[in-house]
Parts: sequence; C-alpha cells; structure tokens
Amino acid sequence: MYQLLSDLVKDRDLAENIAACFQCGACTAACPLNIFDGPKLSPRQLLRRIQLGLPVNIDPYLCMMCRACESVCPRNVKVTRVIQELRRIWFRSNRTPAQLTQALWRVYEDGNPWGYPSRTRGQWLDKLGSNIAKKRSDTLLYIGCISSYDIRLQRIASAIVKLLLKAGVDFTVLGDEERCCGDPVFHAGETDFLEELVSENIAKFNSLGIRRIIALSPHCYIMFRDIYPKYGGEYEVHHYTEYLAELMDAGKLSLNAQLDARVTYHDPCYLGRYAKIYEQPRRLIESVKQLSFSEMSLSKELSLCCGGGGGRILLESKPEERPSNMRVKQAVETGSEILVTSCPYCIINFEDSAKVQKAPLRVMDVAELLEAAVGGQDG
Amino acid sequence: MADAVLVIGGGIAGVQASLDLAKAGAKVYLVEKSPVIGGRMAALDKNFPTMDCSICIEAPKLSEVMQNKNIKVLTLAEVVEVRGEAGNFHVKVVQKPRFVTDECTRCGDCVPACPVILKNEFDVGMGARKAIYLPFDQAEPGTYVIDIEHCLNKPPNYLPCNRCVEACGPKCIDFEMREKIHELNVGAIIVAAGSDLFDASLIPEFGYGRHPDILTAMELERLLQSSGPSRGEVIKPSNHRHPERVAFILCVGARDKRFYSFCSRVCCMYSIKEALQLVDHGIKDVTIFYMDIRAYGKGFDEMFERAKKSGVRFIRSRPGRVIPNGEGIDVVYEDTTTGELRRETFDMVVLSTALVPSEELNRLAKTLGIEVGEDGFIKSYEIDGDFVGTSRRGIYVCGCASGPKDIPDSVTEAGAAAAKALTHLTSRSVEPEIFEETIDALGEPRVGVFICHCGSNIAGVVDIKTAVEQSKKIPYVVHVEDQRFSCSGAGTKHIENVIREKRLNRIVIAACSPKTHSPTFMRACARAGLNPYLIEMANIRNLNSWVHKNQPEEATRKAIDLISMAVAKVVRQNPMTKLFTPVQQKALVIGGGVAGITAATALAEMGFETHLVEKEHELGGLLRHLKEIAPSGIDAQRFLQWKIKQLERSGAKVHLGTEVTEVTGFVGNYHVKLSNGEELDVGAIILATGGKVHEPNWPIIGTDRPKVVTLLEYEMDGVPKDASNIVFIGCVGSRNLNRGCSRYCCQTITYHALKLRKSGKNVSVIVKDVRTYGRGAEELYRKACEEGVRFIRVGTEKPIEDLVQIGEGGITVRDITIGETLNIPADYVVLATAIDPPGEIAAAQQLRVAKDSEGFFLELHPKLGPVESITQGVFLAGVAQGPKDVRESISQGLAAAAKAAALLTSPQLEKEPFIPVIDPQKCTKCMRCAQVCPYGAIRGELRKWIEIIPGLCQGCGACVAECNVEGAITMPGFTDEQIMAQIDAALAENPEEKAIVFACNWCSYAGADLAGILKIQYPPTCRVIRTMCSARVSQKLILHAFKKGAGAVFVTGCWPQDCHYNYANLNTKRRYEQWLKIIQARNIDPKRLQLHWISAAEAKRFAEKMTEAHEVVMSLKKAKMEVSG
Repeated sequence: MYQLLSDLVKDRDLAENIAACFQCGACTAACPLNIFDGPKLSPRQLLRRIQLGLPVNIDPYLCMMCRACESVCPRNVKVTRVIQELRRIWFRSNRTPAQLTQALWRVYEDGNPWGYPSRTRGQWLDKLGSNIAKKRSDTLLYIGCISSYDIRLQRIASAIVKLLLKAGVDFTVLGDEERCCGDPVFHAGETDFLEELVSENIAKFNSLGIRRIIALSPHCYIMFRDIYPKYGGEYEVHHYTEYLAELMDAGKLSLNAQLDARVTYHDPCYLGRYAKIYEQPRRLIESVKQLSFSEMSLSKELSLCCGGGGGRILLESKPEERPSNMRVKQAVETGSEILVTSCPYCIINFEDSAKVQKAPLRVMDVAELLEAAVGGQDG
Repeated sequence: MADAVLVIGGGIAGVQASLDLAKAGAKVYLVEKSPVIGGRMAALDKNFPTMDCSICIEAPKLSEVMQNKNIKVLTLAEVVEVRGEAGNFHVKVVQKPRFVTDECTRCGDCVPACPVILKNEFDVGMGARKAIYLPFDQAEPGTYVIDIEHCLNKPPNYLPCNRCVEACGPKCIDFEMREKIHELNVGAIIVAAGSDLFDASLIPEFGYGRHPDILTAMELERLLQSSGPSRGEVIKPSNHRHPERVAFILCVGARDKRFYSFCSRVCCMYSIKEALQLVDHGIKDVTIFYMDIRAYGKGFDEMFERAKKSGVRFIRSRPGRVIPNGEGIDVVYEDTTTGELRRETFDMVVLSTALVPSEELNRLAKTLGIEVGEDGFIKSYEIDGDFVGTSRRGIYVCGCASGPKDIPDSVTEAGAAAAKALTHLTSRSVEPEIFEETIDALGEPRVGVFICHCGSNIAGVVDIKTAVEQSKKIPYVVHVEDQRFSCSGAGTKHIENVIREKRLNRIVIAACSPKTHSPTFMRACARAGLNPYLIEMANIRNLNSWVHKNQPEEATRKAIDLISMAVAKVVRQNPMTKLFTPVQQKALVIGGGVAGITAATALAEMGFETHLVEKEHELGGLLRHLKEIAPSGIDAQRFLQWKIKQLERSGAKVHLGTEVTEVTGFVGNYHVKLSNGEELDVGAIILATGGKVHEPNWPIIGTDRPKVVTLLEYEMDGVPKDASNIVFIGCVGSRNLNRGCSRYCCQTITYHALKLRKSGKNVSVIVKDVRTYGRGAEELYRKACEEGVRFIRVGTEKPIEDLVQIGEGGITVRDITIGETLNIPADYVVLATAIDPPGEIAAAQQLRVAKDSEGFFLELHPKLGPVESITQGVFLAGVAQGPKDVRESISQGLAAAAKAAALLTSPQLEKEPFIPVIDPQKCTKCMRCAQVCPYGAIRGELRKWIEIIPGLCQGCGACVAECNVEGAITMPGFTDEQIMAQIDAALAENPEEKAIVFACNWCSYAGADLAGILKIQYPPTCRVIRTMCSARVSQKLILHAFKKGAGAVFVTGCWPQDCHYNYANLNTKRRYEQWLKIIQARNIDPKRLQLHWISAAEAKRFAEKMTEAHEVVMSLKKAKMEVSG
C-alpha cells in the first residue's frame, strides 16, 4: 500500500499537484458530498496526508469527480487527478467496490456496464424509421450505453437525431456496433482493459473513417476529448449542445420553437466545470419562444453534482445522501416547471429524486425540450 | 539643466514624494488623473495599527501640497508623451477641463440644481453624486467639477440643461473651458500611480453581486466613515439594519493562481482593523476567515492579539461557498485546525479584495517606456535602482504602482524615490513664504470661535448648537460658527475670509489636536494677514468627544470649558515671529550597514557634505554575512560591492572603526565628537545603527544529530553535503510575549528551502504562519510548495520553542492542519532567529531618541512619519527602527536622506519663538534660572548681569517655573497670566468636580491624543492644559488651581529618560516633593496633587490616570457630603 502511495509522488506532475496544496480547505467546503450527513470527503486532508506520508484513510470511490473542489482551488490543484491515481492503486490492491468490478465484467462481456445484451443496443433506432446506422459518414453521433438501452433516455437519442437531420447534418450512428466508451473502466481505476477497450474503439472508428464525434453524454464526451488522445485516438469532439448551438449560430438550424413554460437549467459537471460549456445549452433553451428561464441559486461553476459522476452512477448511495435531492429542491425553489439538463445521468438521478420528493417538476434534456417545443408548435 | 520633477499620481505616495521634493528645493509637477488628490487613503476611515482617522492625518498633507509654492498640481491630467533622458525629460501632459473656475466658493448651490444622479466612485458606489460634484468634503483642490460624460450639456447638446449655470451665484461654471496641453521639462519622473481593487464578482463562489449584504472591504470602509454614505453607521444595504454576525474572507483575488498569485500585503491588517471597528460599533460576532495572518509590521502582531482579545474569531480556512439563503448568508467552510466542515449563517459577509495592477498602469508604463513585471506592476531594479528605479534611467516608482503596500511603506518609498530623483536635478531652491500682517493685533481682542463637527466625530457626541450658543457668551468673542470640516481646504479658506471680513484678531479653533493641526490653521491666519500665533486650538475631539462618547451632556459641558480656556489663553497672547537659526548644511550618518550606506550615498550625491561613521572596520553590516538576497536571489556580496562603490563615488566621507562618543546641540547645529578625535558640525543626523541577531536559547538535548545552526551561520557555511533532511524553524525569538514579527525571515527561509529542495534535499519549514508578503515572495512560496518543500504550521498560541522539540535525529511537532504529531527526520536544523534591537547607543541616548516597547527607535508617526524620530533633525533608517529586509532598509535609507535633505537645503531653520524674556528691572540676577536650564542658555553673573541665548534655548520653560520673583521672567505663549486664565476658565463652575491636568507637549499630551484615537473611554473630569514641558509648571500655578477650588491637580510628563529637554522634567520631580509639603501645610489632601509619567504611546495609562483623578474628585465630594450631612 504505502509503496504504491509513494509512487504517487514519483510522477513529477502529480507530485507538484499534491505538493502545491497550502491547506486552505476551500475544496472541502465546495464538495457536494459534504452537504449531507453521510461519509465526508476532505480533499485538503487527503492531500495533506499524502504530503506528509501519512496513511490515507479516505475512500477514493466516494468522489464524484465533479471538480467542484478544483474550481475553487487557489493553487490550481487537480484533485480529480490525484483521486484517479488513488483509484488506480486501490484497484491494484483489490479495494475497488464490487459493483464497479462487476460492471467491468459486463463491459467486457456485453459492451455496456449494465449487462444489457449487445445485440439489442441499436433497437432504439427502429422507432425512428430511418436507418442512419447504415450510412457512411465521417461524423459519428455517439449515443453511449445508458441512452441506447434505457427507454426513457432513448428519447434523447431520437430527439438529437431529429434535430441533426433537420439541420441537414451528414452523420452516422453505430447502433448494435457501438460499445462502451470506457468511462466506467477508467473511473474504476483499471488500466489494462481500458487500453484494450479504447484501442478497439479507436480501431473501429478509424476503419469507418470517423473524424468527428458528437457525444450525447458529457461523460463520453470527456472520455473522447481527454482520454482517447492518450491512446492515439485524435478526433474532433463535440458535445451535442455545443454542436447544435454552432449550427444555430451559423443559421443552419432554425427551429422556430415555442413553449409556454417556466424552466431552469442544470449544468452537468462534465460539461460545465470540465469543458466550460455553460452558454451553448442556455442559448439553445432561450431560443424557444415564450419560455421563461430562471437560474438556480447555484449555477455554472457553482453547479451541484447530481451524484452520478466518477462512476458513482453504478454505485448505490442512500436515498437521503443523494445530491440530486438538493438539486431538485433548488430547481423547485425557482418556480420552474421543467428542470432542463444535458446529461443522461443527471436525468436519471433528478427523475428519481423528483419522484421521491413528489416534486411538481419535469426533467428534460435540452434536445427533448427543443423537440417538444418544435412539436408543440406543429401540433 | 532641469530643476523640476514630474510626479504621476496624487495618492499618499505621490503627495509625500512631492512634499519631500519641494522641501528639498525641487519644483514639482503633480499629475493626477482624477479631479482631486488624496488617493485611496482619503477614502479610508481609519488606519492600522494606530487607528488614526485616515483623512484627518492626510488632509493637512493635501493642503500643504496645494499651498506649497514649489508644487504645481494638475488634476484631470494624463501624461501622453515622454521624450529625452534622465536629467532632461520633455513631457507632454493633457489636462481635461474642470468646467468650474477657481472662483468656486464651494457653496454647493449647483448640486441640488443638477438633475443627473450617479454613483459616487469615492464611495465605491455606496453613495450618490451629481454630474457636478466634489468627491468628498475635504477634497483638494476644493473646486467643484463637472463630469462631462454624464452632464446633460455634453456636446453636441442641442438642448442645453444649464441648470447649474443658473444656480451658481459667483458665475464660475464655464462650459467653454477646453483641454489644456502642458509641455514640461523635468529632470526625473516618479510613478506613484497606485493600484486597482480586485473585482470580487470574478469569484463566483464568494457570491459578490448575488446579495446586497455581501460587500467588499472598501464598501464597508465607506460605511464606517462618519462622512460616508451611512454617516458612519454600519448597516446592511439590504434592509438598513445593523448586522449582528459579520464574516470577513481574506485573500479575495490574491494568493490565487486563478487570478493574482501575489500576496496583496495589506488585507490581513485592514480586515483586522475593520473587525475591531465593528466590535467598537457593538457587533459582537465578528469572524475572520484567513489562510495566514500576515501581521508583519511594527505593532501589527499586537493589534492581531488585541483583536483576538476583543472577541474577534479567527478561523484558518478559505470558505468554498458563500450562499444567500433568503434570510442571511451561509458560509460553508472547513476549519482547517479541527477538520470540521461547517455551514454558518452570517448577516453580512465582507470580501477583503486584493490591490491589483490597473489597466491604466500598463498604459502608463508603455507611455513612459518602462517595463512591467510578471505580476502586472511596474518592475523595479535592485542594482542601479535601489529597488525604486525602473528599467529607464531617471524614472522611479513608489507606492502601490510597484506592488501592494501599506501607507508607511508607501510613504517611505515615496521618500526614497524623491531622494533618487533629486540626484538628477541641477538646481534647487526654496522660496520662503512671506505673509504681510495687515490685521492689528494690539487693540481690544476680537475673538472668532470656529467649532468643527469633524463629520460626526465631534458632532455625534457634542451638542454643537449649545456649544455655539455658550461660546457666544465668552468675553471678547465676537464671532462663533460651526463647520463640518474646519481643516478642509474650503474650511480654512472660509476661516481666512471671516478673519478679514470681521477683522478678527484672535482665533479659537475647537476641533482636534493642535499637535497635528495647528500648522494648518496657523497658515490660514497668516494668509488672512493675522499673526499666526494668535490662534489657539481647543481639542474637543481627541480629549473629549472620542473619549466620552457615552456622556454627551458632560462632553458638551467639557467642550464649552475647553473653548473658554482657549479663549482665555488666546486673548492674552501677543503676536510672535518665528526665529531663525543657522543650519550646518552637512549630514552625519551613524551606521555603515546597507541603510546607512544608501542614505550617505544619496545625501552626498545631492551635494551635501556627508559623514558616515561605522564602528566596525568594514562596511556592510548584516549584509556582509548574506549570500543571496531573498526573494529575488541576487548575489548579496556583488550587491554590497556595488553599493560601496556608489558610496565611494558619491564623495561621502567614511570613518571606519570609529564611534560617535558625544553629540551636543540641536536641530541644524549638532556638534559631534568621534572616537578617533575628530569633531564634526552637522545639521542632520541619520541613525542607521542596525540591530542584533537574536541569540537563540533553544533547549537542545546534547547530540550531534541534528546539527542546529542559526540562519546567519547557515548563510555563511551552507549545508554539509551528507545532510539530506533539513528543517528550517521560523519565529525563533519573534512573535512571543515581548516581540512582534521579524519580517525578513519567512521569505528568506522560503528562498533557501526552495534552493535546497531543488538540489535534492528533503526540506521542511516550521512556522506559525507563512508570511511571504514581499513582492515576489508569495510566488516563491508557491514554487517551494510545488517543488515539495513541506511547510508545517504550528499555531500561534505559544512561543515556537514550546511548540517544536528538537530530539535525537529529528524533530517532533504538531501540525495544526492535520492535527497529528509528526516526527520529522532531521540532519540539519536552521533556526530563523529574530532581529533584536541594537544595544544602547551613546549618540541616540544623548539625542534623546525615544524607543518603542520592543527597544527599537520610535518613529515620529507610524503612518506618515516612519523615518523621522521624535527628536527634530534626527532621522531613522533600517533595522534600528524595526526589523526589515534589505529592500525595506534601502528604501528607508533613501527616505531618511530625503528628509535630511529637506532640512539641510535651506541655510537657516525656522524655530518656535517660545524663548523666555527677562525683565531686567524686576530680575534680581539670583541665577537660579540659569542653574536649572538644561542647555546652558542663560548666562550671567550673580547679582550683576544675565542674558538668554536664543540659539541655545529650546523653550522648555524650566527657568520660568524656577523663578520666584513676580514678573522677572516670562515665556511667550505660556505666560503665568495665560495659564492662570486657563485655570480660571476651567474652574469657573463647580471647580471641586474638576481636575486640572498639566500635560507636556511631547509625551503625556500625545498619550492623551492617542487615547482619543484608540477611543479609550475615561470620565470627563479632567481639563488638560498643555505646556511644552512639565518643567514649566510652577508652584504658583499649582497653588492657584487649588485656590480656585480644583478637586485635583495632576501634573504629567515624559518618563525622565524620554524628556525632550535634556532631563528638564527632573525639576518637576524635585518641585513636586516641595509642593506636597506646601499643600499639606495648607490642609490639602496630598492625594489631590499627583505627578505621573506617561509616554506618547501610553494611551491606556493616560486614561487610567484620568480615571484615578476622577476617583480623587469623587472621594472628595463624598467626604464633603458626609461632613455636611
């Protein structure tokens, strides 16, 4: 164990990161985990223990990798990099939670962490009527595991497809051929299988001549953007909200949408703090006429994680310790009817919390909202 | 070629540089971009750590600048072009029109007429102003200004508004004014352009802009100020109620890689200051969130302790979220000393924002062709620049333009820049101010009384209306009026006008302390044509409203008494003329360390004969033992060689291996004897005697490992090659019960720790707080962290010796941020020892240079007089005044040189005319007066002849008090008649309930002033009569006070060793014994006559003694009642 920990400081960049911390504690106060009476996480204490060579008594799998801590750090410490390295060490010493290791086996066997059969991955396409999966294009719309299988989330996938088609974008999807991007493997701290999986995906993308990837989920987006290049997979990567906003700005997508509703928007961590994409989803939402938009008390850099990041979507947490409960409450406080977001994990967590709280709140993806607003006008 | 200097920026640094230059005979152009001078200091309420009222101490400087004939102030002006070179710059300045002419009387009638309402920038938007306005009451220049950008008359105006033009009686609004271009020829340029405040809204987690009660510290500062938008009430902008729980967050924008990496240096202290003020306002729950408390300056740690004692809660944490919760504001933080995560609700959150470089500074640097550093401030150079030189020869920088700085550091640097600038001038001259006395002062007294509100400082306690009405009844008073700020430019101008109109020949200003403000009012009298000695101040603020704030009725009665006493004195005052004494235009610098070398070089370069005396056989002082200078890391020995070469080139005479054995004389005329037999006559003396390195007294267990050395030993020998684990321990001998911070150590050990770490050693640094406040030092600290130097904080509660154990092979210490005791292996331990004050220095003792509580030389004023000693003509530089690093020592050396130059430039010196006069008819030539004169200024022969030598007399008055022949010797300004009249006025009503307190000008009166500044409350029993020295107080005066029924008489003065008149006050002690016998013979309880020594710093002691006087008076009253009952 200690041997492994001392490895941490051998990586110069990482060591600098850890050593830079001057113990102000802003990270701990920003961490969404610490809002609740559950297990606490103090990145400050974690960093200090490593600095001083003391045993680490913190479970690195508690972290949601939401980077709330990093965004307030005056010394620019990359806490999630440190956590990721700890997970790597934890994995090697068999301390990874069983749910995560099981998920890895499912990815290995079925291509997704949920254990759905790989041959049904493209079934959502049947409802669309057009078989874009057959098309050859250098632009790939990457759906991701959960949005391919979950009936509720499949609606997002179809909404995006419709919007892209409306804008006349030439693109393709992989359907049954799509496999997990590797996000759960990465976050489990596993490295060998990750390399295998990512390399296979890259080989497939390359064989199809893919040059540009539009990701539905911010989590897949960050994998393609930050991890794939390390394995040789260099693509032009977009999140779909960013891509649609670009199309709209260029006048290629005109929706003429309209919806009489009060809405608010939740910034997913992997889109907001990771990629600083704050304005594009808002521009898309505000393009809908008659909509009244208000911000929650904590938004953009201060956005509260739904609880699903860093592989946590695969782990159970007690209902009373879910950050999504707090977020739904904040959304209700704005007087909104619809909580809009742009990440499938956020949607799952918020719908769960809204149901438990019996909150009068619909949860929608940006793409869904746009599609509904266009449809609303048509109907 | 050139006789002028351009100063850019009219804040306190620019103002001070201008004054130092002008007094040394340079012509000055002071260019300021805003409509008024004064800078940020003018907007502050109080200054730390003295708690002086900021504008009160700055305003006299501002009016001095405006009135100085050598200084031309150009406001609304910007430098647009600079050509030429050092000694001969051609500068183009564009001055925007003010649209109001100098005839403006500041009646203010234009303001209500103006329909445009805007945010007042001076109040950082907390208050409003019109498009025609004056930023603040005491503004200089005091002419109104039109903000043409927002004025409805802004061209092209097809439909002019012109409401102000119509409202203006004297017709001084002129929209035809045009931009002016000034072509200036100057020898040097000083950049004092200041800094900006960080925009707090850039940090989302602190929530600025999301709730009205989340303020910046500057906004709170304006709320605290009595003339600010809330008239000094601390209220929540959301609902105008008083807050109950206030949190401060430090380092907002600073020490933050996302924004500015440097330490903003002033925020810790200004936050502590504001926190103390909030406590003073009755807010009990005040919390400061900090990362390190950087209380590095003189008296700062003391103030930090005071704040802790008054209940301010200090939490070592940087909050991660500030969230308005509907009612209050939640602050989420982790207490890093307990590891607890907490969410607390406050009702006001104050963000202590950093001082940051402005866009304009960058532009200015481009115009001037000078470099900007990585931190965005003007880059300054050590070699060839003495830390105030920029990348272009002849252009110097001072104040916040070269990085955040507090007021004393800015003022010192301003003096330093001035000293360097003076060396580029080819001619200098000071024209004496001559005023014609047109008002006859010999006829019947016609007294005018001006009662100042001082915003709410006086008016908030004293009932001004009653005071005005009562003052009208005092004999000889023909005019009484109240003013918001008597000392402002407009206030003094008004006084001038009234003197002329009403032909007043005696003036009483009831306001603040004569010690700070009488020069301002004396000049006003002189300008009006009245002899300037015919004015008297009644100190109804420091001695009254500030110290009796809960007894408004008594304070009002006391104010009226003080005014009556002043009137009684001034009607008996005769016109006087300043005396002139010749000045030896030569300087002596004692101490050949870096401060002394710098001072001597600068003075010699200015053309003064300068002597440098060093007791060692080598120059360099402590710098000789250093290898590198932190934080920049330049080679210390190379730097020293350069300094010594400069000194040699300057022509200063160096006396090595020599000590000063005797100093006699006075300002302008010191006679100095050296140990080598030489004798010198000099006009000014700079004490640069350095300090001593603290001898650590560390309890070490007898062992070879680790080896324990001091930082100085480490500097000389370095670390042995086989030592791989190195530990630095800070605060050794500093920050304990007796001593504050030693300033230099944190950045020095951080520098060396980083260097050792880079060579592959394991390095730990153990400190109380990391105080890397200097320019570049915080960046160094960050780098050291990143490289893996481990900084271990051990808390501040005990001396470091009790917190760290050095044992066999290692160190045991408890890290407060993780709460665990660590065992750190150590081969080599470096103790960063304090700098202790120098031992006794004969010259300083003979010159009566006072010392502070730690044993360093005491400066004249902690804020505005950091390099002057209390003894006139003696200046302080370097460590002798307090611990400091090389940069700061050099800066002080130069500033001291500038001050000395100002003194030495003119061949003669003005001297107060308080010289006793002997009436040869009455005098019996008994020579008793001559025996008590501490200066041998009275000569004669018993029963034959007697004379006073004005040149030697310093005006203590010991002789007058010694004489028992009625009317044989009198002291103008402090005659028996005057003092007795003051006693009569004080005791006119209920004398038995009052105490007459004699206070000496230098110590106890200053202590009384300070009690006011610190708001130490005491009972309003006392009536203070100021004399120059307690030795002036005579038996006649004491008995007169008792005859008039005084409840008590307290005589106060300097501690004998501090006496400003060569132990004259030992006479007081001797006389006191006699007085006691006499009053006892008259059945007066000896308790009623007391003698106490109170220094200028002992405000608390003054208040205690006044409380004791009150108790004496009360017990007397009680005894009487018992007798009669």
